Amino acid sequence: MTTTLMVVDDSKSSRKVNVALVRELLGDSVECLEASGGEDALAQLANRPVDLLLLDLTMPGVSGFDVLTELRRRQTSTRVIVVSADIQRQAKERVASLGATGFIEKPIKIEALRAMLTQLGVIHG
Amino acid sequence: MAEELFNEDERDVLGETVNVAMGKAGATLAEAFSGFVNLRVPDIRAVGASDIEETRARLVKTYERISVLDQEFFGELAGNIAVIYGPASYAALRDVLGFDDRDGDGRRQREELLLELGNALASTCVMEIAALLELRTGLRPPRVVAFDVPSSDANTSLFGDVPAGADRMLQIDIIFHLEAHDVPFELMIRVQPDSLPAVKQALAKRI
Repeated sequence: MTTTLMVVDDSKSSRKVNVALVRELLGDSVECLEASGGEDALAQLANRPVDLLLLDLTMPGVSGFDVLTELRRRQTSTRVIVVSADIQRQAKERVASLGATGFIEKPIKIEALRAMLTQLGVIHG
Repeated sequence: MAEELFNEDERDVLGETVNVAMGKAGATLAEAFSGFVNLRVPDIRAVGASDIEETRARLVKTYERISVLDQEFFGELAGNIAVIYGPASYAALRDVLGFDDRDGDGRRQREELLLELGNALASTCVMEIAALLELRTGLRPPRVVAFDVPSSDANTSLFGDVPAGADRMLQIDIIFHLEAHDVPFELMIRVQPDSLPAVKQALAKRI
């Protein structure tokens, strides 16, 4: 089964790295979408279902916190892994309370992403 | 914007590098205050003499009085980093750390407090940027260059001239907003023009 995954980050280089890592880990079993910020992500998500988001927090305009809040309001089944440089304990607690299923610190490492995707059952054993 | 110094890809990678450094420094601040720190997207731009005047005017407008900690960094990545405290940020520090600065020793205590937190923020930020770019740098001891003075009087290296022969410098402005106390802490990093070729080379490796 193909997983639809969206990388949400205002940094083009971060999106490029994240997409490359996802493709390396999931190969042909993933359809990878990109959003250049929170507003772009919410607009795309309103038009198509996505299984998994890799979501940055600190973005201009609509932040990752705002995206999580809006997804909760929409009662979507999309699971969210936050990928952020905001490594405060309180930030991690806050995104968890907003429904994020995981947190990976930037700069992202393939081992951390692999472990998270395995934990979520996206990568099997 | 820093268009004059870096191309779009370089700015993007530099922005992410600063983001990671800011995140670490924000965590330091959050720990010191046991509270949540709102992180905003850092402002990275090329500055000249007119921008420095603009910065001075903004600070005068924002803060009645300021204290400034200045720390020089040197090596492949060289420049200055200033930590700017307005009256509210200092009051928040005093409340959270619970000391009484009304005694005769108040000024020394207050300066030590500014030095300690400022040094933690500045060194975390600069050392992380240097580590991510794989550039060697070192930090000189921090100095309190303005202490609770009217911001219009603050005459520090923060407001120094752009070095001769350099039209533009790289400036990175970071504002940490301490949520529970509703106060900002500002970091202003200026990178020496001499360091820009090394920075560009380091960024090119990451594109």
